[in-house]
Order: sequence, then structure tokens, then C-alpha cells
Amino acid sequence: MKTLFYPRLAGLRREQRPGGIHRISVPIVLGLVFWAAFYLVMVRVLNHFTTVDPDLGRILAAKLLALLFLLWLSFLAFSALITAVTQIFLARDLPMWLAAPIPLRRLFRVKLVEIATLASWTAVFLAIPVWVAYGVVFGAGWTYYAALVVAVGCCVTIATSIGMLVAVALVNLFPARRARDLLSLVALMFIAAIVILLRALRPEEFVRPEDFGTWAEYLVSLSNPTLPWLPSYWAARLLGEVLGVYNAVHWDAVTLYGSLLVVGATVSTLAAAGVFREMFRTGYSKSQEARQVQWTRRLWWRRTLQSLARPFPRRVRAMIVKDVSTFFRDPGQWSQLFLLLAVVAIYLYNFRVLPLDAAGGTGYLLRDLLAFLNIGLVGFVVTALAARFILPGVSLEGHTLWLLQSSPLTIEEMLWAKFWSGFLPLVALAELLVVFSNALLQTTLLLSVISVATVLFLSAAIVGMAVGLGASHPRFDAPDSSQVTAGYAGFLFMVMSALLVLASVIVLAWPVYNSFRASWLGWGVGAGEWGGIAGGLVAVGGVSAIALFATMQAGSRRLEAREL
Amino acid sequence: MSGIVLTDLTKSYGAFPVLRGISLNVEPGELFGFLGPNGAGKTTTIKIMTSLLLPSGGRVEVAGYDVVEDPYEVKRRVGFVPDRPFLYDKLTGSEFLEFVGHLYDLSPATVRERSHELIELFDLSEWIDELVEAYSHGMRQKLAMTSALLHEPEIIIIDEPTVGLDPRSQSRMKTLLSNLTAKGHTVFLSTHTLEIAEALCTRVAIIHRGEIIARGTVDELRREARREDSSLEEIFLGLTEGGGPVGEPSLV
Repeated sequence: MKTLFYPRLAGLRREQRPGGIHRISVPIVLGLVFWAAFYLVMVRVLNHFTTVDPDLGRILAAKLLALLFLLWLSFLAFSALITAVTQIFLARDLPMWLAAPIPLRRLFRVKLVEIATLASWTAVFLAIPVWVAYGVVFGAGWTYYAALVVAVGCCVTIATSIGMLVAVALVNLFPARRARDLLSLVALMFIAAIVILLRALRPEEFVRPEDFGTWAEYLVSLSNPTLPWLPSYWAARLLGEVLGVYNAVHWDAVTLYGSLLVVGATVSTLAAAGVFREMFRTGYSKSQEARQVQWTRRLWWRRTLQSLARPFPRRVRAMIVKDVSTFFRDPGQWSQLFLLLAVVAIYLYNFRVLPLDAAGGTGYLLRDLLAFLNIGLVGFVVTALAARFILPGVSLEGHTLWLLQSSPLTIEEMLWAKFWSGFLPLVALAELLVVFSNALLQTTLLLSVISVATVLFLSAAIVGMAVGLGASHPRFDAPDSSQVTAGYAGFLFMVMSALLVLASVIVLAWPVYNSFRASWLGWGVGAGEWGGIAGGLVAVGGVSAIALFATMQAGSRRLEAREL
Repeated sequence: MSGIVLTDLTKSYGAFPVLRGISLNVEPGELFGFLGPNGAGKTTTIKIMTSLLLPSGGRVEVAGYDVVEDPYEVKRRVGFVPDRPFLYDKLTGSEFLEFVGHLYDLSPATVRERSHELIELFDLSEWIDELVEAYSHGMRQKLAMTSALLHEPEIIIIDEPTVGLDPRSQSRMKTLLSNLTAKGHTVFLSTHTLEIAEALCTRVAIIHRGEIIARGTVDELRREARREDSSLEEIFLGLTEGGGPVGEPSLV
């Protein structure tokens, strides 16, 4: 067992050496800031719950814990499934392992630990402030933290085992498909799960007690367990009981939910081990079989792409067509579009269910404020998507860069090709989000025009920064794009992009406020207000242009100077 | 037409010198063999010649252009095949050729016309509409070779041309390389397969520890090494075994 973990542990040790403490100090500080902020928010919320109305507060705290555990487990399960497909069928070291005389049960154990670690560390890291906040607010003793370790350990084990079981079963159930194709199926399942969860939770009802006949009905509705057959509920209930959220500590309930978690973890691990033992070999063999014909290889697809890229010079056009074709043929890449659809659906759905009418006569103020802040939100959505899909573009060229570098294609042409193939779809999506959410909010034409223009500038700058920073700090050795996003370039890009978005919103805030005040007071928007808005847009456009060209040029220069 | 001229070329990775002032002159239309043990500096030299690396010192002219001052003029005139040609797995063979053709500003019709002959030559026609990810190593090598010849380069630089090729393809590759030089193309060949160098190359150079330790025709090497009946392999082993002290080229 120790031998099988050696390559990864040795690699991890060596990865930490260059740059020493300075390289990791920034992420550590940021992580601590995030923890502190999240912790303080949670403590404030829980204190508010318990001080305003202790009875309702306890119910709400228990409900919130169950909801947070449900979301946490969903994230964990999805992460475990994706990691399982990658680690069981796509890992580069697999052929070497499978050629060695390693018993399957040992391989299963190694993969279980590996997948559990890789899939859960982010989820655990994010949730620590929540768990600690609950412990502090409810004055927990050591039993809470002991129960927390059991609950988290069991949830991680259950999610990992089920992830492995489903991954192995899917490869066997869908013959003659390469393992990567599974990722699209997994993503589809995830979007379905998100929709189901959204409908099961109905979060909008919590802020509308007036929808219930009586106060008691509202309380009863809140007290009802949410999806009690899921391990997330068992974990939340176990911790809630230990904390005494349900008025007192009921040790029979603690035993029941603790046992359910332990039995659940054991049974799921045994089931996964059984499925792995019986189906892994056939599944792995099937996962290596040739793929089927894809629609992206049809003539009409190629002709459409060629004509769409016609306005660009031939070499840039060739790069754009190549990038788009390879993107749609790699399920590891395009399957994430399902996630994108989920984000869009949730985004727009939130605007639809916002209780704007509850604001009474001031609903229009809230509406205008939301529409304005929506510019920033869309900026952050574009940032997240650019970080995931565009930033890794240059790094993904990796081993094929010899071909581009030894051809007459200039680095600048390559980067601009990557810019255009990322910018056009992203700006279309961003504008769609702005236009639709503005329509749902029924906002003014003026604000719609400001939103559309600002989002256009921001999208160009964000995509340019993603391409430029991705070229300045490429990771040609990264096995997949997520590791590029999680690296130094990704961090730098996120910070710079967030600053740009915030600065743009701040610059526009004053002229937009002035024009709204004028129209709310019935004065009408005059030349001064128009001038202010035009000035704000010019400033945002100018800063965006500087960000775009400066980072693209820096990327081009640094990549040019880099030796392969 | 111009060939390749390397003048006192040096290259260091940090403090570690990889090339220690090598000079070479490859005539136009020549099939030149570049030999050397692992780590001798062959690939570094090739990467500098194809503008993938910048030299630390010295001068390199390829097809009459300086690789540092006019890299794009060099690239237009060179076809390069690396030893491990990583290609785009998610493109089909024909799409890959079309893509490379466009990088060299060829029209789709020209790409189709030129690739047709090469595809037939390398027995790729059956696979040309399959995704590259389904190709074996040898097929990738053949596709990379096809793409390098599409723009009819003046100079062809190949790192290990026959690695992974089946015997039939190896034989065709040899014929192709001979034909290319007959048509006036210059071929610079880096290889470990000494019999290919012996059979095809008009001249060879042996690099060892970053220095050229021998150059000339195979017969000239035999005479200078006083091994008239030896094969190139024996000469090569004699020169590179134990290495000889660095900085003391034996036959140059």
C-alpha cells in the first residue's frame, strides 16, 4: 500500500519546494481571510437566529445546517464522481499499475483514499468555518467535534464509494464509449440533481411566511425534515442533536443517526469494493475502445465554422476553427457547458422568484439597484467562465506548441485567435444574462443600455486578461485545465478581474445614482446626468481597453521569450 | 537556395552548457546526418534551428535567414518533424493537415492536392478521416511528416525519422528523403539509426557533450579514424565510448 502512494506523496513534497514559503504564503493568507469572513458571517447569522426568537431561531439553525449539509454533500458527490472517472479510467499512471501484479482489492483501497482526498479537500476547507461557527454559537463541547469528525468522515466515505461505484457501473453499462464521454453524462446528472434540489428546497418560501395560513403552519413546515433519507440529513441531525439545537441532547437520536452514518459508510464501501472487483477489468477494457462518429465531424459543422471564422486572416481562422473543433470533441471540456446551463438557469430563476413586491411601494428602488448590481454579478460570472475555459487555453497547447512555434504563426496571432474564440461566445452569454435579467426585473431602458455597454467592455477585458495571463504564466505540464485555473495564473486573473469589475461598478455608481434620482424625483434625465453616464462609460471602456491590450501584449512578450 | 550555417553556436541551460561552440555548414540539396549519443545536444541544436529555442551565443542561418533576427522567414521555409510528434488528438488526420496548411497560408485546394499524394505514399488514406487519438505512434509520425512537407519547404529538419515506423514505411521514408534531396530540398536528419545515416546521408556530423567531434562523408570518417573496414556504428562507438576529454575533438 505504502509503495502505491509513494509517487504521489513524493511528487507533492517536491512540488512544494520551489519558491518555498513565499509562494504558498499568499494562498494561505487569502484562505485565512476567507475563513475569518465566512466564520464571522455565520456567527452573526446564528446569533441573530437565537436572539430574535429562540424557538424559531433553533429551528432555523437546524434547518440551515441540514440545507448546508445537503449542498455540501451534493458538491462532494459530484466532485467524487468526476474524480472517480478521472482517477479510475483516465489517470496516466494506470497502465503501469495495471501491468504490475497488484491485487484489485489493494488497488481499490488506494483509489478510495486517493479519490476521497482529491475530491473532498476543497469541500471540507470551505465548510470548516460553518462547523466551527455552530460549535461556538451553541457552546459545543468535545462531543460535537468528535461527532463532526465521524459525520464528515462518513459523508466523504459514502460520497467517494458511491462515486466509484457509479463510475465503474457507467463504463460497463455504456459499452464502446471512451471514459471521457462519461463526464458529459455525469454533468447531465448533476444538472438534473441541481434542478431537483432547487425544487425540493424552495428557498424562496423561507422569506415568505405570509404564504402560510398561520404562524404554526410556517413553523411546522420549517421543522419538517428535508430529504431525511440522505446522509446529509443524518449528519446534520447528529450534529444538531449533539449541539442541543432540538432543545436538549437526545442520546437515542445521536446513536441512531451516528449508526446510520457508520452503517451507510460501511455498506457503500463494501458495495463499491464488490462492484470494483467484479466490473473494473471489463470496464477498463471497454473504456479503451474506439469512439463513435461525432456530429462535429460532419461536413456542415466544418463549413459553418469556416464561414463564421471567415472575417479573420487565414492563420487566425485556422486556430479558431481548430480550437472550437477540439473543444466540442473533448467531453471533459464541453460537458461543463451543462454546468454553465445550470448556472444560467439558477441565475435567471433567482431573479424570477425575488420577492420584489414584498418591498411595498419602494419595489422600483430595489429593482433598479438589483439591475445595476447585476452588471457586477455578470462580470463575476464571465470571470468564472473565463477562468475555467479560456485561461488554460495556452497551457493546453502544451505538447503541441512545437507545431505552432515552428510555423509562421506569430505568438500574437495565436493569442488573438484564442481571444476571439473565447470572447464571442462569452460576450453573447453575458449580454443574454443581462438582457434577460433586466427584462425579468422590468428595468428602465437607460439602465439596460448602460448594462449592455458595460458588460461588453468588461467581457472583452476579462477574456483578454484570461488569454494574456494564461500566456504569461502557462503550465504546460498540467494534466488538465482545472489545474491551470487553480494555479498562480488563475489566482492572479481572479484578483485582477474582480478588481476591474468592482472598479467599473464603483465608477458608474455615482452617475447612475444621479440619473435615477432625477427620474425618481420626476425631474427627468438632463444633459448633466447624460454627460455623467457617458463619462462613466468612457472611463470603464478606457480601463477595460488598457487591461485587454496590456495583458495581451505582456502574454505575447513572455511567451515569445519562453524556451520550449 | 541556401542551406544551413551554424557558426560557433553555444547554448546553456542556466549554468549548464549544452552546446559548446559548434559550427556546421549544410549545403543546399544535401542530406545531412546529425549523430550523437543521448544528451549530446542534438535536439537542442534542432530546436535552435527551428526557432523553438534562442541560442546563448553564435549565429545560425537557415535558408539564408538568421533564426534570431528573421524567425518567421525561417519558419516559412522549414518543415520540422520532432522525434515525438504530439498532435491534436481531437482533430481528424485531414483536418489536421488542413489546419497546418492554413498556418502556412496554403489554400484549401492546395492542401488537398498536396496532401493526397503524401497520404497515399504513407498508407494513411484509410485512417485520414479518423481522429488522431486513434492513431498509433507510427501513424502519428507519418502524419507529422506529411504536414511538414505540405508547404514544400526548402529545408526539412527531422528528429529521428524512422522511430515507430514499420519496415515498409521505413523503406518508403528512405526513398522519400532521397527523392526530396534529388529535387533540391535540403534535409537535416538527426538519428540514432546509424544504418540509415550510412545508407542515405551525403555527410554526417557526430556531436558529443555539446561539441562536434567528427564530420564528413562516412568514407572520410573511416579514413580519418584509420578504420577502413569499420561500419559507421563502429566508428561512432569508438568516438563516443568513454567520450574522450571534453573540449578535445578527435576528428574535427
